[in-house]
Amino acid sequence: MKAKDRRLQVLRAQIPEVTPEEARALQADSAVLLDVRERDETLQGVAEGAVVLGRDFLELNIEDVAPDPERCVLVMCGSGVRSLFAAEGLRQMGYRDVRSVAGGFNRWKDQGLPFHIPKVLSADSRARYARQILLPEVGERGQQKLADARVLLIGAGGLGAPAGLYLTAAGVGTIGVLDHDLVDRSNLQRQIIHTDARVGQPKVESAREALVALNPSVRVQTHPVRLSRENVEDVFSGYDVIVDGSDNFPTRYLVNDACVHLGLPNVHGSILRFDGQVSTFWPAGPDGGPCYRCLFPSPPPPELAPSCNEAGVLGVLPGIVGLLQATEVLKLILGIGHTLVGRLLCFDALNMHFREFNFDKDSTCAYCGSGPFPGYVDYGKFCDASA
Amino acid sequence: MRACGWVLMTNRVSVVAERVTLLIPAALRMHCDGADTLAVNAGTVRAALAAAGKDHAALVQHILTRTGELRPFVRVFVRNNDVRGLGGLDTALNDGDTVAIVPSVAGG
Ligand SMILES: [Zn+2]
Repeated sequence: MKAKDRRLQVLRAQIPEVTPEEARALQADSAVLLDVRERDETLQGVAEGAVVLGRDFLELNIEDVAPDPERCVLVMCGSGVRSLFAAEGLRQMGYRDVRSVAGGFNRWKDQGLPFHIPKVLSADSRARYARQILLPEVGERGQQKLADARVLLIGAGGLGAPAGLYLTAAGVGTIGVLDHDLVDRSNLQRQIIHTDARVGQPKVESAREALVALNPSVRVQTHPVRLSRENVEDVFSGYDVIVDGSDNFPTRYLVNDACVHLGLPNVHGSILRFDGQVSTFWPAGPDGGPCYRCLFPSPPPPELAPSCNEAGVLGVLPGIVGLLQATEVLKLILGIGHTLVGRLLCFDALNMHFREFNFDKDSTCAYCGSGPFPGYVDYGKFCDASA
Repeated sequence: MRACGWVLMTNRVSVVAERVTLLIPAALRMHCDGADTLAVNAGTVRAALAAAGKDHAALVQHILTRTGELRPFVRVFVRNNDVRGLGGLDTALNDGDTVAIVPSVAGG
């Protein structure tokens, strides 16, 4: 008899074994099921509810999964051999009720017990996103969430340019770009997604070229249209997060109303001269919170509302504000940190001040209140008529 | 008494003139000679705006309607909170408070 087999005999005498069915029942009774196979093996499938914890780091990571040494731990490998060795290691660490799943994942699968094929990142993705996968708040799971996310940029301009580039770099899987305009040389001072060579091209096409060049795995969906109450719901319905980087009030109110109606988070950024504003409006989100109309019930009349075309803007300003928006988007997708829901962040570039202001839901707001959706309006008229 | 911003005079209640700072956004600085802050003495937001309006009428016209109400596209924050959730324009000011004026802007 080989040494290995002698050792196995000893372990079998010490470590209780359970059948896959028994393991499944124990799982329902609060036992934790550990899968100690190699990464490549788990690509073929993982038992439902199992925690994949490689054998190499089992002892180092077990306490994150099962901090209580009294808890029943079920160990599974491919065929039920390596799990005996792993179980022995856990017993030595003080886990008292450790059992090995006889026959391993192969028998689990053969017996028709539930399993799933894990979504895993390709080797290219693991290399590309290595620095953010390292962050426990992101990890491979978070990276997968980013890959599954669909983000729509309203405007491929000063705000959309940096937001789009960084979100694409970070691995957001689908980026929508909505803009009806062409690249103009006067855009290039701040709209860094475009290039001198692409002056005169549709902005959405120019943006697509930049984004795909940066990260070929991104899916770019272009919308070379002017957003209107007729097309807004069609366009928005394929997205999880809306980034408002538009450059006029009618579009901003339309974006707000559609986001409120569809329950989508609206990551808002706006700029003028040296000042920027950022907030996240998501009345349907977990924290509730106000909408854009709660903050500004109506826009300034046109004569009091200079645009960047008339009033000017410092080129770096939309870079900063657009990246604050991108940061909000990543947090929303990953479900980490605290967003700007209920807070308006104001950036004053001249004095390098960031100030944060709190505001509440407006109990009289017709759009995000409890009443029925009031419907879309004629946004041009709405903005011309305000005083 | 002073802490709450009011003081009893012989036969009437008068607002104490606290020293406060108005923060002026870049979009409105052209209406106050480019100043990014204005120091005024006032006991309420309304009084602070009135004090600023003495030298900078156009600035205040951008913030208040003709009838003296806050315009719906301008927010005012005292101690970082929206005055609509405090006492509106009658929100009392403490010595050293900052009153931030934030207009809606649409640039992108
Ligand atoms: Zn609202």
